[in-house]
Amino acid sequence: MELNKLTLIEAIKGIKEKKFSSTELVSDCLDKIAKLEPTLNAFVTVNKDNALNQSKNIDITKPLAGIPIAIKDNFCVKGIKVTASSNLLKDYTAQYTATVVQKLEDAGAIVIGKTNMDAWAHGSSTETSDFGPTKNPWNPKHLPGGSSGGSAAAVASDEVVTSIGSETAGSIRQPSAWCGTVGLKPSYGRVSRYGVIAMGSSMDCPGPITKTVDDAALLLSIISGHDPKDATSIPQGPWQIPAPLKDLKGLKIGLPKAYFPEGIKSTVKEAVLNAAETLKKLGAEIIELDVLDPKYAIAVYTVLQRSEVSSNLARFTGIRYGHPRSTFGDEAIRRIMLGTYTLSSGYYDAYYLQAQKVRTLIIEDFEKQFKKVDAIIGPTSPTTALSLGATEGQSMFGELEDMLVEPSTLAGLPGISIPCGFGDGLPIGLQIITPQLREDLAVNIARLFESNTDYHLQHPKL
Amino acid sequence: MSSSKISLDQLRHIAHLARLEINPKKENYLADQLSETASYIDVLGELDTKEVKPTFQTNHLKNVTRDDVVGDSLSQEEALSQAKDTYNGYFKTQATIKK
Repeated sequence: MELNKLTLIEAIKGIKEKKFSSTELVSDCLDKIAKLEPTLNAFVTVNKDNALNQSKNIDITKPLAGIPIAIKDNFCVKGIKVTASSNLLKDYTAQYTATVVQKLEDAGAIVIGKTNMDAWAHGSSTETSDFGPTKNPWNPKHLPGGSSGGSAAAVASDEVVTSIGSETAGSIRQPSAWCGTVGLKPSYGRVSRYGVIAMGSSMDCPGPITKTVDDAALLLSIISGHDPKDATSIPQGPWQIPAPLKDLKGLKIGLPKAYFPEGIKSTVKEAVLNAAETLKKLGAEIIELDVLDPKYAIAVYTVLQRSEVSSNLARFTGIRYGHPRSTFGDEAIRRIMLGTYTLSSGYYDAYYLQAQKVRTLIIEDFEKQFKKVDAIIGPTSPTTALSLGATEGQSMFGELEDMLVEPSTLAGLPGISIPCGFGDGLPIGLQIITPQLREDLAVNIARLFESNTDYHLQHPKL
Repeated sequence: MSSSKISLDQLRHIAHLARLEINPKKENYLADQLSETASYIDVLGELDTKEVKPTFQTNHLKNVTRDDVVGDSLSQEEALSQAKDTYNGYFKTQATIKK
């Protein structure tokens, strides 16, 4: 039946209306995974037997009853391996469950597997995974983006109906753009980080990677909400799915000139400008913006992320769990080293403190822009998916690929990436950025764009 | 702003602070890569930030605490279950004081 091709909302409906069982849905996903994994390598662990067992005993009253979901391999799920795609944690079994996964399981979802990622989430390609790269379902000679590349590839290829990823700067939105999925990065603190292997703690955000905007909104409404186990969790209840808008009349949408940098792929530029036209036809007023040059956000992000990485990865000593520090891969070593340097005596003020001050300037720049417009749009990535091997020897690969998502990340803003076109057979992503805690507006603009276009209905031929 | 070139001595000092052992054959390559990244972040010095306060956390929550009540935690068995080396119910570490 290929139930794996359904969207999340369709799958929920089918199970509730007893058109098919959870076991049939889980089986179809497992069949597709078995068929495609030799090509894609989107999973680190497939939770086959557990998932099938759980599917036989579901509580139909729950919102995600019997829905299999793929979880990025940096979320702890008790009793299942969690590796962050690193050799250091290759045989580590989680002893507790992340809040996000707990909420999904409480809602009736079934963890079908753990998806591949850049090792420790350090990258934008999924090529730095210690277990081999994930391939892009649209063309397996290309990268899926990252770091949540496994989740995006699994959804785009219909190995699963839906997934969860995490983003520090771009790791949900950029692989979504490159794989043609929807990626929703919530406001910082909207979704608990408890039980997620930390990367850049002042920026890390779990979030959905899905087939449609409504799927993403539904998952966000389930995984969000205050968590006493995460001190940066916003003290608010779960996010509520907003009622849809009829059109975009009265809405001002900003288009920053700097989000079309030199070297942007012409197909990407064209698709995003066309998307702006579509939004205009839906009633929005499009306003060009002069924003702070993204080069400063790249520098701030590089310093803060490396600094936070060096601190977060200090706990991996191989004593309580995992293997010794000598098993860190090259990218982790580069990041820990730079972060240790920028935090070290004599350099802290010039790098770390200065970066935190420039971060304030970036936040103030967004506040200024949001006095003029309600939302900001731009390309999610300046390119379509690059070829395998593109990251080789590139110490700043991720930062340059993610230059258009880094400013909003540093300001803790929500953003969504949705399919808005194709270039040479590879998907292109449009990102919509809104003020803090205004996921409702990002979702509503994305919904209207999606219902007036058909890019999300196209599937890779695998 | 400091000079962005990272010397081999600096590299070894940073590696010591980070408790990483760098393969001597890779030292030059790594120093070059770190210098490349460090030179990129030097653009931070271009902006005037004399009057600007740093932002360490974007949702501005401060001094978040919880009630001091005992809750569930990992059992000793669970806590030790992933360690490669244990002794009498403890983690075994390398000696930090030389005899």
